Amino acid sequence: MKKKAGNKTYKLWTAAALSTIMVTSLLSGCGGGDKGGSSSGSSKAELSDSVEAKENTYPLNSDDTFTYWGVMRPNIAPNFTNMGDTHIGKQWQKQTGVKIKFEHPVTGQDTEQFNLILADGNYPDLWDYDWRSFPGGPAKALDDGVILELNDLINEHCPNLKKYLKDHPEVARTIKTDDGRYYSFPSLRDVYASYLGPLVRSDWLKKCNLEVPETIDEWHDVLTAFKDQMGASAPFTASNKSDTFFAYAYGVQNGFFLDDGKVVFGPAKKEYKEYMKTMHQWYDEGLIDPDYFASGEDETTAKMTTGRSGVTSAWAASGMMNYIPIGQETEPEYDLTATKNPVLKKGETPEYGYIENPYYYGGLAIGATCKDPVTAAEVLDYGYGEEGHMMFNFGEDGVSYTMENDNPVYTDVVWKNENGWPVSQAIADYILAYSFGPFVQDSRYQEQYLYMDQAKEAIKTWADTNAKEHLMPEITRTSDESSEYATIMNDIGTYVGEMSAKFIMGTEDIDSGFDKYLDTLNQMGLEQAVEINTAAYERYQKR
Amino acid sequence: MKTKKEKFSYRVKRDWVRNKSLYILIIPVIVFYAVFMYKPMYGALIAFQDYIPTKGLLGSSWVGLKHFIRFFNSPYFVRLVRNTIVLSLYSLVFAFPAPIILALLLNEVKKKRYKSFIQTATYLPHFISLVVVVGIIKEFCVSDGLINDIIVFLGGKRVPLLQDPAYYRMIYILSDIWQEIGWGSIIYLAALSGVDQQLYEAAEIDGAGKFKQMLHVTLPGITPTIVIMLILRLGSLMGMGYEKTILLYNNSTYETADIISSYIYRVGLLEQNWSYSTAIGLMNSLINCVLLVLANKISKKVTENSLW
Amino acid sequence: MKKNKKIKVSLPERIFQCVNYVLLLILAVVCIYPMWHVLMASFSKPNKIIRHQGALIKPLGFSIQAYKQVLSNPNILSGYKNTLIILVSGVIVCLFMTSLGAYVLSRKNLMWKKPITIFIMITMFISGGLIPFYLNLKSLHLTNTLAGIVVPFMINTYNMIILRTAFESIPDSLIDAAEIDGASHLKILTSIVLPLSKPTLSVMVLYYGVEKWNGWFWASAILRDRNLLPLQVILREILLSSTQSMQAGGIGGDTEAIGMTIRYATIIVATVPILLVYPFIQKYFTKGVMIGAVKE
Repeated sequence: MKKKAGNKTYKLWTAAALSTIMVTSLLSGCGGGDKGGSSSGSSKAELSDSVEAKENTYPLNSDDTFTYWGVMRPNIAPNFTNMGDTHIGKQWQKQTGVKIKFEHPVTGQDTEQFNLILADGNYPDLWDYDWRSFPGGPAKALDDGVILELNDLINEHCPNLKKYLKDHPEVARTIKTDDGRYYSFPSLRDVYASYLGPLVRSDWLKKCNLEVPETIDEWHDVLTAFKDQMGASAPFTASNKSDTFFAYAYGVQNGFFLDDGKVVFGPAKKEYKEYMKTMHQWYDEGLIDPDYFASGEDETTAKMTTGRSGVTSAWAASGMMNYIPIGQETEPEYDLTATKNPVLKKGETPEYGYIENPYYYGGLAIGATCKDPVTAAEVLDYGYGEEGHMMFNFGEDGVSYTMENDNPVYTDVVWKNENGWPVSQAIADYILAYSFGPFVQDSRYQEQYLYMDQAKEAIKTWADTNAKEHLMPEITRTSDESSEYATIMNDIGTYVGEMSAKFIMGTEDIDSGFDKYLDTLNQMGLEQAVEINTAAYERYQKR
Repeated sequence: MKTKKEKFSYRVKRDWVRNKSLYILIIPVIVFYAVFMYKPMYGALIAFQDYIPTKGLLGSSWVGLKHFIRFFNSPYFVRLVRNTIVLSLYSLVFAFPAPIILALLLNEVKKKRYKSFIQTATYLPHFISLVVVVGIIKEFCVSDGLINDIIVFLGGKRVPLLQDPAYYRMIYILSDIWQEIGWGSIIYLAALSGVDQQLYEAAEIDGAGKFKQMLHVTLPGITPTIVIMLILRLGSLMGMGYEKTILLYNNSTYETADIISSYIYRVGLLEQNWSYSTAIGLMNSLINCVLLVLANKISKKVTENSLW
Repeated sequence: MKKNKKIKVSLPERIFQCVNYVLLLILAVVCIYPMWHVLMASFSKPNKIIRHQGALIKPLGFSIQAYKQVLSNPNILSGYKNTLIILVSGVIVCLFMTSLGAYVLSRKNLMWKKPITIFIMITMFISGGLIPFYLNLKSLHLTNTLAGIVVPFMINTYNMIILRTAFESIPDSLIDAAEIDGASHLKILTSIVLPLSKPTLSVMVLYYGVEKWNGWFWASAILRDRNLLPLQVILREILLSSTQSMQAGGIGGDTEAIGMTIRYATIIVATVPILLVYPFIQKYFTKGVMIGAVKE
């Protein structure tokens, strides 16, 4: 049947009907959670002594129940469904004297659930999130009325944190926004941590009659020996693709860092060329895993524990202490030792290395809808005082630790848990030091947790660098800067990754291609990215 | 009785009288779409804003085509689009027919038990999570893995297969076929079982052999299904997801492996920008929509099957 | 079945059958292998799996540690229960709604068919995204309820189109005959169209069933109560927390790298039930549908 002449009207009606339905539906759905931004605080001065922060007595005399929102710590997950069921969860409430209702997002979906909370306005009171990664920075979270500005609260009600910040001005600077506002109770360490670094098969070194390598040339010899004498098919491998620790010897590391107080981008330094050349030569010689770029974490573990690799870069806890027992199952003499970061000239102290800022997680903030921010602040201050410090780091005196010669020592509750739980899970029942929280992580935790001597040695060895001078502090970019920066750095990141792979594998010639590589980096906006970071760094210094 | 000109209102009335019960039947369906799909649809508009979850749609500022321009200006724009389209097309040419062929082959199997066994076996890989599948792929493709062993046996040299952009697409598509051929054949098997047995018998009596039967009975029987599946497939050409890509690619294969969604994923690691990812999604959808409409039009002319 | 066929099986045909069988067998082996690998790995000792490369034929050092950890999770039972509820109610509701839509859209001479189809198909291209969808559900009081996982997903447009195609292929003569006999459309749908579409309907049951069984993303967005979380969310959590390593000084290290085997165990735990369903549905495909004689 052919369409008749009433066609036009038909189409009109159709269009009208469709649009009416659509528009009505759309309009009725419009209007998402409209949270007007609250007034942004004016630039605050330093926490001052003119205001006395009164000492709080714990447990506080309070009937409050606070809601806590934070990710479920992976170590707790196998045995508990809620942090409130753990010993530390209960202890925290008992010793501070308030009730805390713990809520956790579904593991792996924390970003999505975080945004849903933002959208529907149901803010928790104690909000544990890495606020440094809030779009636009922590300042935006304050400006948008998501969390509360803490300056007055800390000034008047948090003597412990206030004292700590006074004693550690660098930390105080790091945890503020560029305009001087405090936004969260930070997770801190008492050291600049170097928990990642080079590992080498020490039993192989013995067999090949070699010393622990220090210079690039010595590393070359070690790798060659591993290949020729120990039959390693992939002498050096690693799952961290951004750079290898060999780069440090050339004064290069991935990303932005400081050289003499100036912001530089590692892969754009002229020394990067030398580094690439060495890596390429080693790749050709078969000293680097032929599948280096395709190897992930699993493959690296497999290679390191089956004699296909002898050198890698790994964490002290999850790497070293993982590989050694596995390796020893088949090879009883299997052993790893950590080495210092490589240098070019013998005897030099490594200038660069892996290092982390003491402020390692963006903290517990107080949600803007919290009904009793004063008590909340007092609760959160607890961790920075002596009692709280011991609780978060070591647990319960007499239960999870005992004092020996003024030092806390974990008990068998941790080491030989009655439920048969591995140490990592047992310890998580009693403390929070292994992850993050409103306290300062005590290095005595780390010293005991790394129960293997090799691991204890490792973090000391890796700390022997000048890396602190080069570490980029926790700068914040503004919203506008953020977008531009992300665009530029995504492209640059892709390009650097790709070109490095090509240089190392030899698909692209370094001598003829390096200048073009540098030019392309500039074309992609590297200079703007450096400017953005420099501006942010200057703002940081003025905090 | 044909009339030359029928008034529109007359047609509406007549259609209503005739089909009243049908329209009533479909009301729940329309309500469903209106309430659950159209009501939130305004969210697509955040592609034209600098959306901030706390400010909501009405509170965020409008920026027009800023995010689209940002993507177009990327030095990788051409490469990303190219890779996405090429992978999708390869998939269309090689991975789309595979389940159909499997269904046809299975159809020829006389022994029911054997057919069941093969069917069950082939759809197992569909249920294995991508992480494990990629893990297996990596194991086979490493320099000292199974595939390289075969290459050496045939006289070649060992190659780190996953580090050469030239092999990436092949590995991607072949593993896709491996994982999805069985699951994909299910719908065609269902369609095949709907082909009238009498037609086969009639064809056999007419002297047609196996192949001719397939050509004249089987294929026409499942053509509507194939065509619809094809059109729908074209309608998702640009929507290639990132999960498999980010597991399978690495720095050395970006040249052919990096697609739009994996690039956007990496941007998302640097910056949480809802508007940007929504904008890209919208752009992909638009292209998909155009493709679908085109495919539909062509299909209408060529095969008389179409979506509308 | 007559034992003595009138038409002999010719040689080319026999060769074809033979080749066919062999090809299919090779394909089956290649497809079974990954699942076998997963099964074997799930029963292996984690440390051995970590070191292993290449194919896996039998478990490396037998261990049910992974299963113990997965199945002893406090939320596993509630996970299975919730998924079952979602699965059964979901499939029923989905079949109902999808059949309604597919049926109406398969009828000819429906004046508003094209606009309605376009109305529906637009939703395949434009969607509001996570936050508006969530806020919408919130306004309907569906968040944090199992109903919120079922109701907003009652129709999968892709599936509905496939079902519509199947409905369209039912001969008009049958429908017309019933209409002449005075049957209502609902009756036609239930007594003629649905029974004749059993193969495609079984595929719908399979598609929707697997979708409900495997779904985790929306569940984790919409549900807050741990007791409501379906199986896949729980399994995913188990998997992620056992393989996650936190920042330096963090976890991992001293124990078995149990994450490896947990990965495999979760696949088995998640997949075996659904695999058991398929054979039941399979029989609907193998029956040829004999469309009875119709008087033209």
